[in-house]
Amino acid sequence: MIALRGITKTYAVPGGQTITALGGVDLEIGRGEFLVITGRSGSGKTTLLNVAAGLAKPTGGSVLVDGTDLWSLSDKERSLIRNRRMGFVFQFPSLLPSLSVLKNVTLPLAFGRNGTEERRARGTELLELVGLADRLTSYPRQLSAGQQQRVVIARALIGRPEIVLADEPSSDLDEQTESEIMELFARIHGETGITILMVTHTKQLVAYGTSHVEMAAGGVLRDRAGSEGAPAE
Amino acid sequence: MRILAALIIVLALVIGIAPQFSNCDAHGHVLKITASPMASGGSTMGSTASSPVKIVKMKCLWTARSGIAVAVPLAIVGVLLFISRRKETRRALAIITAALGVVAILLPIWLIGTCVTSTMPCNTTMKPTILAAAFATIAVGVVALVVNELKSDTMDVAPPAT
Amino acid sequence: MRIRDLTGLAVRGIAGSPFRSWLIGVCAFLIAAFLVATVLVVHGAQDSLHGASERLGADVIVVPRGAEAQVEGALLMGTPTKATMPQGDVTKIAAVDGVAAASPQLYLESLIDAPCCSVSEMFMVAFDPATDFTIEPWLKQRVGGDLSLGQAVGGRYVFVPKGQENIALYGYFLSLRGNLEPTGTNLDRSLFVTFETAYDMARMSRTTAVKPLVIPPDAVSSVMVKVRPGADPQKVAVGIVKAVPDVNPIVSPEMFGAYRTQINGVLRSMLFVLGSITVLSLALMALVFSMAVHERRRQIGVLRALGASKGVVVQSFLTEAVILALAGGLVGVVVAAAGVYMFRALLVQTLGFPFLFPALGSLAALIAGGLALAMLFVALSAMVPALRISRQEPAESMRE
Repeated sequence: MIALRGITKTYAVPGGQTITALGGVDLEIGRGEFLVITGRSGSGKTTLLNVAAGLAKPTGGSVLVDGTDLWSLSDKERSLIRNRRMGFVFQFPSLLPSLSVLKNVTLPLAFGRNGTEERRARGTELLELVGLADRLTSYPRQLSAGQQQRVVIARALIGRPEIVLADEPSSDLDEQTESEIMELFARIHGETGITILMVTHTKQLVAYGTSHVEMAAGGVLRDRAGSEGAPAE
Repeated sequence: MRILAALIIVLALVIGIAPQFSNCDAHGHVLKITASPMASGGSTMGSTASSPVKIVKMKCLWTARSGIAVAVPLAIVGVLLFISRRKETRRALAIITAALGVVAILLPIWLIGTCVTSTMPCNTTMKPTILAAAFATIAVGVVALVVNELKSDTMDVAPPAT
Repeated sequence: MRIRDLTGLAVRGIAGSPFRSWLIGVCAFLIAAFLVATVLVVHGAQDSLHGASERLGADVIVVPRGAEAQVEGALLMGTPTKATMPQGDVTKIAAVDGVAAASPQLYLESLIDAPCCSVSEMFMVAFDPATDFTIEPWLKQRVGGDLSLGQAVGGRYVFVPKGQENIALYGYFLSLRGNLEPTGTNLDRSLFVTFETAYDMARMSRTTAVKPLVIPPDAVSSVMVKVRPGADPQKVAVGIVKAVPDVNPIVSPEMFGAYRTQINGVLRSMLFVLGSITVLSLALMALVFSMAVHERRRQIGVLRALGASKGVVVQSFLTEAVILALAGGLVGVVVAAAGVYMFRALLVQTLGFPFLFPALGSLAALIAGGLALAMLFVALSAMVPALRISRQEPAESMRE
């Protein structure tokens, strides 16, 4: 589904030096795969996710989404791909504090042409899926961290995306809440077959995925080592 | 809401104090009435040699003094709005503010009035000052009403324990 | 993104930081208010001078040499003048090549606290109906006849006192035939009588008035000159000086020169204040928007990730800017227009030049213009930070 070919990413820092976050990475994410990428802080895993999602431009290499080079498109086209085909779950609280839970969930649909009733119905359906159907009119500040993350997951699914990209979705949560969130991911993957790319520094979470890649120092250390079943094409 | 209350107090001071210094009497103008059948009003140049002259207070002075009668309750309303927490009380105070603004407008225009001569201090300075402050008072009253309706009551009483 | 959603997002952005929103609103208020006030005052003053020139109807005003400022002051602001020239000069001026008509006027004493006037000072002007070309045409059109002995025509502020049938001045009764259109100048509180009526009033006042009206014999204050069609007023003015060396002919565009200079002076000061306020407001607004953009950069990164293009990000900030500019600007233009209108008499007294509040049509255009400019300035100050953040990579925006 997403193919990363020869991806390099360097940053310039004050003092004239450059930092290499990614030094030539090749990776393919297959349709229906639940790929978990692990690695320590600074291994480049988050940068790789951002490049795959079109949120950061690689210094070298190409990002192909079903054969289309993401960076040959205009900003508007890239934004459209993110809106229609991708869903995001971030590590930090990413709900808009001034919008209600329902409005937060349906926010991606506001960039499209969906009607209000259609949005409301779909939003309610997803909030039921994540177990928050009774909190439609609440505001983010009235929810716990775990509940907020559930809302973010519902938002990520609102546009019926083909892939969900999750960057350390449970790192700020306690153990019990973390496993609840991971169970939710696994359930959604099992029920819908949606492709999931998750980045985490917690090796224990590899068990929730169908395949695993380990990264270190801006490169792939182990590709799909010990994972069951080859990734689907 | 406290800012609006402070504004109301300031406007009350303007309505009460400014006219005391800008009415014609404060500038040394007086109205002289002559008893001569040939002239009327205030002309001392066109009157005959022996006409008795009577000095009368101009009506703009009464307008200025009655401004105090509007300013004092307005200031009290401002103070009450500053300390009040109940939604219903604030609503009433906002309406009273607007009403007092209307009265302040009517004073120089209709209820008492100012001098006829348009270049007298009461017309060049006092009347526009009162009117400007009065319109501002009405605006502040309306804004206070709207803000109050949008806000939730901070004095919600908890239901009694059963 | 639909307009409704964009507006909703913008409104939430505004409500999210009330202090900053108030600051932008106040800046927009100041720009709009000072702009409208400046244009109103200067426009009103220029309109008034134009109206006065039109009312006088003369191509050239001939005044005693050295008395130009005094005569202009008398006509515009009512400051008394005793400068006169001999009546014989009128005939000499009328004989100059290019002169179609020459009509004398005499400015009589200012009257204080006259009962017939709604202003504290009134001006009496005597004119010659036989040669006059300013008041006579108006009289024929509006009143249907000439002024006879004992009749007068008044400016806007002249009226017959309540309960009376005539205006009593110096023990003399005048009947008011009508009122001229307003000019915003001293002409509005002038009473126009014929020379015949003036001399009659002076004669009778010796016995009937406390202080008699004294008219200097064989004297006129100014001569209004109409040039022949096709003649050059400048050349006619030169001819007049040659014929009568002790006078100064003022050609129409140069009329009220001292006041035009004064108005330009006030305009320069007001433009300086306006310019300073605009520059400071722009700088402040740019700073506030930069702070807002920086504070919300993570949010913006998330919106970009969810599918908002660069254009949508810029649009949402511009919408916020426009809403705030509209709110602040609207209050500003209304306060400025209402303030200038209510305090217009005080303005004239303080600034020392005449003023005429514009008609509704001009006023509406002015208000629209002021509002549009305020909105433009606010939008400009939001544009730069908005463009900058929209160009940043979403991943960069979301970084801690």
